[in-house]
This record gives sequence, structure tokens and C-alpha cells, in this order.
Amino acid sequence: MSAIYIEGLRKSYDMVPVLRGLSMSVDAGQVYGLLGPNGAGKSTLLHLMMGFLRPDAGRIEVLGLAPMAAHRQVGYLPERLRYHTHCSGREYLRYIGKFGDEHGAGLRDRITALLTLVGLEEAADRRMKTYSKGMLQRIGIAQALLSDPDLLLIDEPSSGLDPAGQVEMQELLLELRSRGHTIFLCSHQLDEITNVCDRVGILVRGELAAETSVANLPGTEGIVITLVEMPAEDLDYGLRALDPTITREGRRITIPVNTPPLQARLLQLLLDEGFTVASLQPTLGTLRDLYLHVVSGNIPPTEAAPQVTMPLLDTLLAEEENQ
Amino acid sequence: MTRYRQILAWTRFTLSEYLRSGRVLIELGALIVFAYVFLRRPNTAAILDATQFFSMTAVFVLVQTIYTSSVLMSMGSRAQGYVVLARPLGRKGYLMGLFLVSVMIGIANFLLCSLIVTLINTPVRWNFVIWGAGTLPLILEIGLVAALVMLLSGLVLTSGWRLLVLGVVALASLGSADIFSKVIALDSTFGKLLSAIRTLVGIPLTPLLAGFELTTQRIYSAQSVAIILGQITLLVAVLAFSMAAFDRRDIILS
Repeated sequence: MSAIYIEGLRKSYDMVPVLRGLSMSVDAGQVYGLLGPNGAGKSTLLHLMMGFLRPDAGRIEVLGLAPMAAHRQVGYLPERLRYHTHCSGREYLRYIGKFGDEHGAGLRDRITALLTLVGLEEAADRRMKTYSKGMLQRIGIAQALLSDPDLLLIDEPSSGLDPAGQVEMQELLLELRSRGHTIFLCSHQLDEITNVCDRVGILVRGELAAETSVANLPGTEGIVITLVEMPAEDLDYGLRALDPTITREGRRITIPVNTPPLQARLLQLLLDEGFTVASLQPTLGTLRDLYLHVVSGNIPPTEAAPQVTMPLLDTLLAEEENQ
Repeated sequence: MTRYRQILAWTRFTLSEYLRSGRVLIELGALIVFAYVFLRRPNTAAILDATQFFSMTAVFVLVQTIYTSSVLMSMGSRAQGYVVLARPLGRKGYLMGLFLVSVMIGIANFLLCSLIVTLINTPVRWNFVIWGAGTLPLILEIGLVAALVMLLSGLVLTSGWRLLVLGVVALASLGSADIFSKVIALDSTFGKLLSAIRTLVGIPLTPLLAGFELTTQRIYSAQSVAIILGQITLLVAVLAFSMAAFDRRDIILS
């Protein structure tokens, strides 16, 4: 079942399009990270999912419901650290609970448990105006979790936090992930997305320019070909003639920047020379590589090619190490 | 019941934030100045009557309600509101809470004025019936003013709609046709049209003006009941229009 289903979503501000026919879905139990440059439409998308904004066209379903109807089952952490700060953290959470018609001992116990989870039990009775940015962000997480939501929509959780605060926030997100929450996370922190999310999408100019699972990031950089036979040095001339950037180290040939025609010519050369290819492995680019490629307009396929793995490769490499 | 409990909690929270923020000190300061200038007895010969009290206090309380409502609407337009709007309280509950706090502060102002005048300069023939006769329409006036400020705030209406509604209110509020006659020939087609529109759009505001008069005069008749019913109807209509508008618009808080 999709926790979030979006089809053909369009939204403009004063005739300026922000989202241009966006379609995507997030499965229940998934942690989805949305990246994108400033102004790409990430916060607008979250506000549409929360029902704060109305779409110009298209369809949004949150937990199978219209956005406004799903509020009871959704926890939301806004981007800006703006909270009502004249009350204490505990008092704030109590009121937020009451806005959702939670009350009594159940609410009190839940608040205590959440304050412990976010590490604010000692500061719970202090006025929130004395809180640091990190503490405010943690109280934000606590309020988002107050109704034990099925889905968490989190906008820039590490925004404005110092490095220690960012690490703490990441640990908190990992804790939420381990508890099985479905999370939709907008962030600029590539490490955060890589460490926390199952799947990542990159929003550029209101369109989903790329989407992939984090465990299988596309090989944006190149490929490594491993041969069964150890080639003679003569092969290096042929490789350099194909492309000067190609390098060989023992049985391994690396194309740092791969293109399908170059890959095809190299394979043809190797076959012509009578070599047997043991494996062809894309070099996994980092999320940063993917992001920069996509944002600069050099868009890779939306899904990475499956990584080739062969048992023979491990044997050959082990032999090489023994020699 | 659930929705009422949520609105009540939001109202209490907003009132508590308003008081703790210290903004209420401005209202208290203004109240002290008003009481010192207008409500105290400057000499033993000066006698205050209920009509004078209600005339001065109604203007003061209504002006202060405009201020309080504007501040509350501005508080409601801040990004802090996203967390509240994300709760099942909903948009209507959010707006209703802000409105109720405006009215509560307006009523508290009036009650303090009444208490001060009773203690330091009791008007002649001052009793609970006279006080109640002026208080009922005044409380409805406070509600109407708070509702109109809410309707005209940037939170509820977009700029275009605000201009339109303000234009209608301005047109309806023009008390004398003489103003028209100085600018437009009333016997011209355009003049006649404008005059008809003015009469038409002025009808809804009649309870507001008549309610103020009832507060100061406190002469009750069948017509007075109609005025109070008119005030209630207008209040409900403005609130309903505000909520319908807020329910349909994009919410962009900053």
C-alpha cells in the first residue's frame, strides 16, 4: 500500500509554476528522502501533502485519504524552528495533544515517554524561549510523534543545527526508522539521506528528476571490468587508444567516466583479443555525485542498473591477493 | 464535543501566549490612560451619567478591539501556526480560537472600565439593569468588530478580496449622500447607480451602527430586539464568510 500517492501534481504561485506534473509514491514502512536545490518545490510539496496548500491540478492521497482528512494519522515537523515559546516544553506538548483531542493520563504518559525519547526530560519544564535550536528541533520531533502517527512528514530537520546537533538529529531519525515509522524527509544533508533513507528522489524545478534506492545508487562514474586471464602489457596500448582515461591494474580495467558506446567498444576489443570477462561492475557513485549530476542537468536513468556479482570474481581476487 | 474541546484548548493556549508575551500591557496602559482622562471625577461638581460612560467606553473598547484583533491575526499568520494547523483542530477551529481570544480581551477591557467607573466615579442612577442594557449590544459590537477585523486580515482574505471588501465597507459607511453630491451628480445615471449600490451594501452594516446607538441610548423597544437579532445575524454571517474563505485559500504563514 502507498503511504503517499501523488499523480500529475501541479502548483503555481502567482502564475510561476513550482511543481510541474509531479508523480511519485512512497510505500508504507519506507523512509523516503527528497533532495533538491532551494526553490525546487520541496516545502511546497510537503505543504500540499499537509493540505495547507491546494493543488492547481493533480491528485494527492496521504494514507489513502485527502490530505486534510489524514491529519490524525500524520506527524509534521515544519522547516523553520518556529514554535510558541512562551510556555514550557511539557506544557506545549500538552496543548498540542489537546488540539488533537488527546487528554488525561494517557497524554501525560505519552509526553513523558516522548520527552525521554528526544532527550529533553530535564528541560521539559523550562520555557521554550530558553531552548537551543537543537532542543527546539527535538521538541518539534516530539510534537510530530504525539499522536503516534502512521506517517511522519519532516522538513529540513537539521536546518540551522550545528554539527553536533546534526548528528543528534540523525540518531533520532535512525531511532524513528528502527521503530518502523513511514517517513518522508526533505533535506539538504546528503549524509542524513544516505544514512537514514531507503529511497531517495531528487526534485529539480518542480519535477522528479531522479529516483533510486539508496542501497543501489546509480553508477554515475564508471565501470570496473575484471578479466579471467591476466593480460599482457600490449593490451594497454589498445585501451589507451580507445580512451586515454582507461586504466588497468592486473586483471582489472577501469573506465572512470563510462558511456555506453565506450563500454561497447572496450568489450568488443577484449572479446577480439580473446579475453573472458569475469565481471562488469558499475562503480557506485555517491549520492553527492548523483545529486550534482542531476542538478546540473546531466540526468542519469531513474533506477540504477542491477549490480553484477559473480562468484568467480571473488575466487580470482582471492587468488590475486595470495600471489 | 470533540471539536469544541479542541477549540477551547486552542483558545486557552492563544490567550495564555498573548498574556505571557506581554502584549496585554499595551491594553492595560491604554486602559489606565483612558480611565484617568475620561472616567475619573476631576472635581466634585462633575457628574458622570450612564450615557456618557457608554458613549466614551464603547468607542475606547471598540478601538482597542480593533488593535487586539489585528495583533492576534498577525500572531495567527506566523509560521508557528503550521504545527497547530497540522492537528485535527482544523482551519475553522484555528480561526475561531483567534476570534474568541479577541472577544474575550475586548470584554475584559469593558468589564475593567465598568469596575473602575463604579469604584472611582459612579454614574448617576447606576444599577445592574442600566449596565446590562448597554452591555448586551456592546458585547455584540465587540464580536462584530473582531469578526470584521478577522475577515479583513491577510490570514483570511487574499489582497484582491480584501480590497474589494474594504471598498464595499467604505462605500457602505459613507453616512451622507452630500459626499456623493460634491463629487458625482446624483441625478446622473452613474450617481443613481452608485447611490443604489451604497444603499444595498449599507444594509448589512446597519446592525453595527444601530447596535452602537443602542449601547449608548439603552432604550429598548421591539426595534431594539430587531437590532440585537440583526447584530447576531451579521456576526454569524461574517464568521461564516471568514471561515469559508479561510477554508478555501492557500495557507502561507511566515
